[in-house]
Amino acid sequence: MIPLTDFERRSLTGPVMEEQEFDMSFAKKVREVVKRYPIKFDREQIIADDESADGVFEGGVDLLAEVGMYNRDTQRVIQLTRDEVVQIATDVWEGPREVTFGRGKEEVAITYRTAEDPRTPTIWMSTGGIPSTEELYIPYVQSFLQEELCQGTGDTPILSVGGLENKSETPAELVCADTEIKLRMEVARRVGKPGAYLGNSSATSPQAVIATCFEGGLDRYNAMIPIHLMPELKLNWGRLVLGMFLEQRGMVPWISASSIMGALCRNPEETAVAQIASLLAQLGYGHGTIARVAGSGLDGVASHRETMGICSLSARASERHVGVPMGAWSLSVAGAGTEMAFYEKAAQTVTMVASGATWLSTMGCRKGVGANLTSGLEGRLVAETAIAVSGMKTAETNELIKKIHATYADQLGSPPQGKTFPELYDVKEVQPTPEYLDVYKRAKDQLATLGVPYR
Amino acid sequence: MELVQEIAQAVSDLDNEKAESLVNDSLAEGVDAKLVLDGVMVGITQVGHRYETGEYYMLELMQAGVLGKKLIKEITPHLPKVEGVKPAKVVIGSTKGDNHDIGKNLIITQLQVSGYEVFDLGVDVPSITFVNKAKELEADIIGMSAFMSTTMSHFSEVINHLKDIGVRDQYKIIVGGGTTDTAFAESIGADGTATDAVEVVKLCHRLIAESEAVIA
Repeated sequence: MIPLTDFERRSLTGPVMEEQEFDMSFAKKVREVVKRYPIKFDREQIIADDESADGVFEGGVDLLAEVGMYNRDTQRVIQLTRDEVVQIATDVWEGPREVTFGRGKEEVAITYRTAEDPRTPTIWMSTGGIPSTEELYIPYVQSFLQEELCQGTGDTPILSVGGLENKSETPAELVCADTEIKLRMEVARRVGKPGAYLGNSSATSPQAVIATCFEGGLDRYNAMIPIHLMPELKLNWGRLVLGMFLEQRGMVPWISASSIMGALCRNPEETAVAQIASLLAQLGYGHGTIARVAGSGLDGVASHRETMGICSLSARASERHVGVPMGAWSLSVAGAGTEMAFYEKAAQTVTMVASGATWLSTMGCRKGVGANLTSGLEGRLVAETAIAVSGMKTAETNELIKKIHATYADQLGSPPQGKTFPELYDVKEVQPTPEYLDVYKRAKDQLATLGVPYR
Repeated sequence: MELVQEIAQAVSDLDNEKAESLVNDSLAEGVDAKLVLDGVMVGITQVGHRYETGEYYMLELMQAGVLGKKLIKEITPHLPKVEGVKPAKVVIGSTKGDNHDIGKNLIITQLQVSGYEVFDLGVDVPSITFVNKAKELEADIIGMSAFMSTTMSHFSEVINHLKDIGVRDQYKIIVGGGTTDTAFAESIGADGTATDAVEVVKLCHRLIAESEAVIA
């Protein structure tokens, strides 16, 4: 294991480079390493095959070893040897491959899964960064956490508190983050899950993030704290400061590999290789025990075949060679309250369960643009779908994904906008309206017809 | 016209050696520098088209930007001075607390290859820096990028500051990022937003057409 302080040393001694030069070297190298291995994204077989997954892993190792990471604050490249990169993966593989969150009856062990693994992933339900207004915050979060299959929630930013706008790097950032945590704890108590995983707050500056971590606030059992690299392979002192803080306090870093297709990476193959390089880099300095892949294109669509393919390639590469409990999201282009949003989330869920995902967090609708745009009912369908398809054979899964994708593919360019949370839920009773339940039932029936074996 | 096409093709194909040789030889032979420049600009425009059609990616845009900048530097001393013409300047960055820059960098490259003078303030940029740099550089457009709801909040801080010091009308303000849409941009008093880098260039063209600045 390379000590985090060594990443500091390398940040100060690595080659000096202009940021654009680093970007260009990354873009050239990712094209080059993809050609070295038999990596293939097949639009007809979304779940990555073993050979491609192995190639993505090897390509990711090569990419990180040959490009390194970029520290923007020193404008230097943090270099790693290939042996060091391989050792990062080996350390995780030989480690526990399990991490526990929650307290009491809400304690959940998140354990490494493989493709076709019959065990169901852990289900956390949250907006995943899609904000809420203050007056709706409690019912909004409650709509997720009260779901029977929900084993924890996650980050749901609050837009303002008492008229104070949530703004990074200001005192309001801390006020809002603190309020989010307190309100989520209140919701957890209300729904009888007081020990549940709560997720990180909306605070992003290191000082505010650190200030939210204390006994009675965010801690080892109820939160992961983001330390992830920015695409592609870039960090700053803030990331390393947070990494060191978490290590000293025994907290769990949130590692998210989120390379983007259409910019420095051209296609699913290159993007997946970049994801693995990013994953290994973060495991390297963060010494994490859990991670997530989040594939997306410049268009922000997470539910087309290519982005699902990216996630499958990188999740399967990790499953076969890293062994870190790997998570995934489901983000729809369509608005909540539409059948299409359910189908998009189902397709992503099936893809990731069949690619070895260990935990799923439901995410927002309408690409996450706007406030109060999702609800717990989408989480319910994600959870039910995940349970239904766990253990399904890959060939069967590939056919199912294609059928589900076909239900919405022609609407991705002009998706239905749907409705907001207060239009979809009785916010006083925190229950979906009969109309919204009908949409959910129709979508679930259709998915069952397509081959999702709901229990 | 043949020379213009030849230079354009070399630039469009990112054939640095050929493009540089054609430009330098032409200038040495006394060919009208405006014609040589036309060749470079047509080539850069073609690179933009090749990006739009999916043939080229961000790497090619960056390479074209580097090549174009180098060639224009060679050509500029040979061009007649035009009085009263001010090239369009864009000051751009990711707001305070936001370290996302892929989209921003893509826009910068597209704007550069489209003839804009772009000043990249980088990421995690304090709101006051947008204001001060725009004033210092006499920018025409201020571009702000933010990916998170907590960093989008800085957009209005910059706009309000410009209003409070009485210079809001001197700048066109564009905002963007993963969670920005037209309704939000309008609600904070920005002049526009766009969904991708190509659209941002069109937006800037439209905004610049409303001002006295010109695209190089």
